[in-house]
Amino acid sequence: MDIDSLLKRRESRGSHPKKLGKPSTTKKVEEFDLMNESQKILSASSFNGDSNGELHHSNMLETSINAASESDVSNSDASKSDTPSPVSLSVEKTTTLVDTVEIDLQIAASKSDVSNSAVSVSDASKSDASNSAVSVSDASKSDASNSAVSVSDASKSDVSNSAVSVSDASKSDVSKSAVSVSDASKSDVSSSAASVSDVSKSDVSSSAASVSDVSKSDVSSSAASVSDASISHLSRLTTAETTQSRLETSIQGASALNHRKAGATAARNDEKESIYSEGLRPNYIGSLDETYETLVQLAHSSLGLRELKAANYLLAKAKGVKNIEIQYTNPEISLATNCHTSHISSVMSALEENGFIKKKRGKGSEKSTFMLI
Amino acid sequence: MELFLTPADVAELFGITVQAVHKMLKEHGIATQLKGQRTHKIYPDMLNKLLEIRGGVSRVRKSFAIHTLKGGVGKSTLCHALGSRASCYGFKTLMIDLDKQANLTNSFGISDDDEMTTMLELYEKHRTGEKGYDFRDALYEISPYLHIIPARLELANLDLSIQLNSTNISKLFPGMLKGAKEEYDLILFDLPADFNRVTMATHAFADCALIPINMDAFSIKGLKLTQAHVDYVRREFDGSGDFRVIINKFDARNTLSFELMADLKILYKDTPFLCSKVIPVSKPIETAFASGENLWSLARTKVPALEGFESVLFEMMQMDAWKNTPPRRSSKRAASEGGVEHGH
Repeated sequence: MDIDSLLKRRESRGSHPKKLGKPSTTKKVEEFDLMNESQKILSASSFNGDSNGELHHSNMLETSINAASESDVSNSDASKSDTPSPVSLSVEKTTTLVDTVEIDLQIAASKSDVSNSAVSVSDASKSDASNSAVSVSDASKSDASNSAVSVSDASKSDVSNSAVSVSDASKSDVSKSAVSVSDASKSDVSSSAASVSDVSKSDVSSSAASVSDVSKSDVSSSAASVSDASISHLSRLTTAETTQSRLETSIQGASALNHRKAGATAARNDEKESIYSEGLRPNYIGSLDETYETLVQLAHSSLGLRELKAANYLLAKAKGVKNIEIQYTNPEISLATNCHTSHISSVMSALEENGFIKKKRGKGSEKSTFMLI
Repeated sequence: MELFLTPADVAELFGITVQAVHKMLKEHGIATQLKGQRTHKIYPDMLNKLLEIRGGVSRVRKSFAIHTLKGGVGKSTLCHALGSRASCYGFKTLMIDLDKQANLTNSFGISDDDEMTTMLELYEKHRTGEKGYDFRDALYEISPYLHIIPARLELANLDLSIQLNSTNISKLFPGMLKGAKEEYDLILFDLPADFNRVTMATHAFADCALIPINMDAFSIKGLKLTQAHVDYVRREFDGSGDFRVIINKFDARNTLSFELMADLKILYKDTPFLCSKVIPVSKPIETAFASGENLWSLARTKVPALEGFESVLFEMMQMDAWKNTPPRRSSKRAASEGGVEHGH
């Protein structure tokens, strides 16, 4: 068994594995970049030794973890802003655009230190928020222009059971903000975990992600409930970033799938259109004299109605031009002749036997062709 | 273990018919059949005699380190199959088991519980400069043409010993195996799925690394890392840096196999690094290997993997040239033709 013959045999079978099914998620060889990666690996210090046999093991795992965390951070939108944001916000979207919203808040800013903070987070204790785990209010209505995330208070109203209430403080300029989340929770959000509303009031043109309009009412069942005060843990920050990047991928995947479905339907419609375009109706007869002559010839032969119908269609499709290969499919002829698809191949064979056409079977995904003789 | 060729194998090797092989054996009085036995067994000595009759062949001398970081790809099986078959073809073969799990050792029916001399003991003796040190003390003879230095679990300490004693890696095996390259045509190292000083020393000593891979993504990752390791040894310890990638356990039912193989083919285009032969997946081979049977006693027609192993051996040891050796003409015919020529 050698490689060349195996690959040739595979090709001759006409299978195209890469086109079938979902796009392969398995890493391909080129992704590993065998020739160039070696240098990287060596420099990544799996072995740093000298010629005397001394070897210094470095922690490969550590390197990889560092590398991974770096890449994660670079992918997340939050990291793009250069402000030392104490608030991390992740938006989880599953199937639809804004099905699930998850907000992680890390509160590190105290009341005093608000002036220079990128995001101003303050206490919501002004209002009646006895059961709320975290309440975040605004202190920075003035200077929020460069803030990565603007989170303000909504807890003035009744948010007794709400875990977190996030409101709008960003009516001012938040053009540079990465994500702007505004309030929807002024109303009744008693059992909701988090409420996020429209930000469209402000200018979010350059924002990396804008989370708009989560149904104000129905957030209660959202998977992401930001309850605990332990949100302040740094680990949540990383998780949020990872989740966000993962979500972006899944959203892209979902939209690609929709596109593909839509594309397939459109292609099918196009095919139908092309069959009937330019007068290629089932009963259309091209050049009348010639067609009539041919059909009479065929009628005198032992062919049946199906064959005549198909011949008529093929003549029309070829516009009477002989010796030119024209692609066809069985469903297409089936549609034109009102015959079942399963009969078409025998119909075409009969036409070939009677010297009307010469057909050529397509290899693999190629379409078959016919040629008027 | 009885290692021999059949007349059909020899016929294929010489590119002649089986009948012609029998005729040749009969003409030169080489007895291949024992009384009461049906099979004709052509042992390496007999093959060498046949080769001499046909004008002789040139044998290459090589040492291979069979190594990859990914486990379970068939390193030991490849070592077993190549070593045992090469010895059938008359190559004086030495196999060195450096894997502490001792699978290669066990596959020849040698128990690793015995008090055997492994490379660890050899290293200690060599390091302390013991008088009369000879690596041949550790040899087990499987057949006259096939020897093995076995392994057992204690071999795990070899890496540590090398580290503690700050042994020069590039000079380790040339010292320990002094004279081996001259004595043996083929030296095969069965390495563990690991990177350490032992693997580095082996790559520094061996002429070429054989990297068996399966057609899956993790194997490709293993290949990448092993290739980097070999390259590192080449730069730091003056290794050869040569390697061959062998596709093992190839499964034609798997679409991914073809995709990866095509990608590898493109990647190694115009380079000799990818072995052109493929070893298909085989259950009988796995079973025979685990039970310590002779792989080559399996029915060739039923086990295509054997063909794969043999093709790889032919490619590695440049044995394809053997087929092109023209048969020596019989003296009677040569004389008669010579006479005619002379007459002209």
